[in-house]
Amino acid sequence: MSIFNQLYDAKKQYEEVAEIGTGAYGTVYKARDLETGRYVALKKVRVQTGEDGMPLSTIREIAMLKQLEKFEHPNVVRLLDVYHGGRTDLETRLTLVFEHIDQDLSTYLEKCPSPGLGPEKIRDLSRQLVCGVDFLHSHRILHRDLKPQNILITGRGEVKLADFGLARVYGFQMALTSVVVTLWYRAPEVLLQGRYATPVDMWSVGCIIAELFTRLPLFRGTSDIDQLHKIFDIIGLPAKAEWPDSVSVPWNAFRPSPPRSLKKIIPELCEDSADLLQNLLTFDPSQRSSAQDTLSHGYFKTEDGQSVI
Amino acid sequence: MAECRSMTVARSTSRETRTHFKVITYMLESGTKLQMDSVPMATACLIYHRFFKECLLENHDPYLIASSSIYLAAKVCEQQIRLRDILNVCYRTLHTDRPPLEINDEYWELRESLANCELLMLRVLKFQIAFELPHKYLLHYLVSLKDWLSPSVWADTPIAKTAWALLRDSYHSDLCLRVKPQHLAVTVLYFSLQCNGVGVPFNDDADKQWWQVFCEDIVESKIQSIIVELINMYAMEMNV
Repeated sequence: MSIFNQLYDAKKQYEEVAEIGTGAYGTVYKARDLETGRYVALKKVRVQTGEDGMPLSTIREIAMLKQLEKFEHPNVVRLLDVYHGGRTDLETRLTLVFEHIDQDLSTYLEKCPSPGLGPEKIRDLSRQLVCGVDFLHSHRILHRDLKPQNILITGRGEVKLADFGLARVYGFQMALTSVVVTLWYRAPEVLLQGRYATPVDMWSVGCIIAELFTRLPLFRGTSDIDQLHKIFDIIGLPAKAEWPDSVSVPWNAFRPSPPRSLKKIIPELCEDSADLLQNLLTFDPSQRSSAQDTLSHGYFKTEDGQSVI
Repeated sequence: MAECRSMTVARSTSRETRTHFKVITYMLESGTKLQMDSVPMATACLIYHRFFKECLLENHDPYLIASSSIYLAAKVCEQQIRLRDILNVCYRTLHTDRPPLEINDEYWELRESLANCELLMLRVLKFQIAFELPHKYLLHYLVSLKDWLSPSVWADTPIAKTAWALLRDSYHSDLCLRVKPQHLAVTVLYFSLQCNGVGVPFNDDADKQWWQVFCEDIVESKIQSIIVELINMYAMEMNV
């Protein structure tokens, strides 16, 4: 049996059922695993390969994702398998096989009837979301693209993060130019093309928790600059001293505006949830609440002061 | 009947072991020619052994798997070695009687096989190709041991050289997969001291044996059993 045949034999294990959608890095299919009978999600991606085969960054990143599987964290989607679907001198087609979950948070919120989610449900979903992010951050993984479409909700109400760590698997330049990448959950430091780390995900978490209350995105910009305008309209323009060095846009490109009360914008917020969002939607990344801090916030404590986790 | 089957299994196992021994010798020779450092070389051997823990030898060309292991190890250990250099060196090591590989159909075919083999191995090994190796432990133990021994003993006996050689040779078998890296490091050091007839000063009067200072969870019987495996491996070299 040739290496070639063995290599592509894996394809036969999965029977494609339907196309789920096209993301920034490739197409996703719902498929049946013929060995187990369960449904899986096949994420087909193209990895740029030079003369020396698979890039080390891709190998490392997938190895790290496989390493995470050992922990079986309840708030992270399972990566079940990786196989190869063909190779040229310029690229290798990889298929990442994930557990299949029927709906994402975006669909979940759309389907949710008025008057929306109850406060306990919002608290539960928020806590699971932060738990998942804390797990990734504790393993030095940034998600970089947290948004409702990347947050899956199982039939049992479990929150599972998807698509983390993949920017490095595909290579940062590999995003399909035809696909519009949403800016609504992007942290200011990303929009300003500055340096960034784990706090970028915490900004996205803040945007998503706010959306759980209103079922509408908090900041709906149409471009990087417009997105920043929308952000500063609510959190206020930071002081000039807070503005980071060597970023793409100068401080004076924005009109000064004072911060607005989150409770006025989102009347459903209680004192604790408003304070939590305030800590997450902070311009300065070093002052922004971490996942660990967020989990011990008063919002996630029960009546008797015990943490719910 | 059962006895016959077990004899057949034993025969095929020893045949497999001999094959792996020969292939690892080829890998180490190729690695030396490619000027690979000891850590990438050990990683290559581990990748090779791990692959054959998952797959049957009869289904794969072990020399192709070995060459691909070198390629992957160089990559994961960030020792830049070009694919064409690996191809040329491995080809010359395997076919000493043939002229160097020319850039013709055979070259492109081999290159294609190696690139496909990389993908197959990554999948079989579930992309887990980075390992904790005994090297850092052995280095640490040798530095400590040097302080314990008199300078003249250290200068006159090749303790370190013997230990490193034993460690390198241990990769001919799958010991590296079955034994904790700390245990392998302690064992090759123990064996090196034995081979060189050197004792650790004041060891008999100490509360702990010297090897337990380095590695708390190892016992002398474990060290001895690993040494027996190493001796058997050297004995097998005569029959390969």
